[in-house]
Amino acid sequence: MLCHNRRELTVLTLLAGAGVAAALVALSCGGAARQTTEARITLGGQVLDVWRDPAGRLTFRWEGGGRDRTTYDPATRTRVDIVGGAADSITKYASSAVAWGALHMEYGVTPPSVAKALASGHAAVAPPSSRGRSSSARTDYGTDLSSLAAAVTLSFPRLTSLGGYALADASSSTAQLPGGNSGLVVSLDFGLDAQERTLSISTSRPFRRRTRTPGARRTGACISSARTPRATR
Amino acid sequence: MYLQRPHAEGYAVTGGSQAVFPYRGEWAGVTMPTTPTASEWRALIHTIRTAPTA
Repeated sequence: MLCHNRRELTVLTLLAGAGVAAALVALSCGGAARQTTEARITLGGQVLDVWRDPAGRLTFRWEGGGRDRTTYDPATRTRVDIVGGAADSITKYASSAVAWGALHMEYGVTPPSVAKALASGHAAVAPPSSRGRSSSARTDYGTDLSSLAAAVTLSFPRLTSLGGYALADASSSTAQLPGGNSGLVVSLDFGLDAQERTLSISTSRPFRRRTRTPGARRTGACISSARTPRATR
Repeated sequence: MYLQRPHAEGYAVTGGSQAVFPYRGEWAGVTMPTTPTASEWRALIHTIRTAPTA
């Protein structure tokens, strides 16, 4: 009986995996479409507009969200968050699963739900592209510290929990600040509730000497971008 | 807000919930959802500094 149930479970798992794979293929094959498709998804009383352009790129925008929206390119696993019509941040995900996990957290969507909605969508005009270039670029590794370690040259603590909170996200990033480039920053976030329970650790290469200015220190996007006088090291 | 020079115990706290400290030739920063006490900061930073590195 147990063996039989295991077989059923295996079959169900395979079918579920095939469904997600089919949805991913359907989404990526959207690149073959000749026009932009728009669909609406209702989630918990809120309406989410979804577009897929001829290149297969997806755009998500809450109804009433104005010019704030998110674009995601499944081919490159790159996400651009657009605020007020301008690119606010660019994130490249280490895997499609991590990318969709982040999109699900924010928009409540999955590859199957988006594919299903777009399958019954209609032709539309693509939303305008973002203005300008983002000042930050980030790569998200989810909780895969090994991949992060392989991708960066910085040493960072291999912690899977801190202060009682489990590792939730690991990423590397760089940002253009008024005083110069932040250098490479590795961030580890712990806890599931970003408002109440997130701890973060960042390590960074310090600013190059010629770019260090008091202004840069004040406006650093990450606390680890700031530095104390070298004499104290 | 300027960072203060790390004190003798090797870290500086800003705003009560953020700390910065030297970490293996780089700098590390920690942001907490609460305002830890000095002993809590020391324990947390000790955990980070002594964890295996990747």
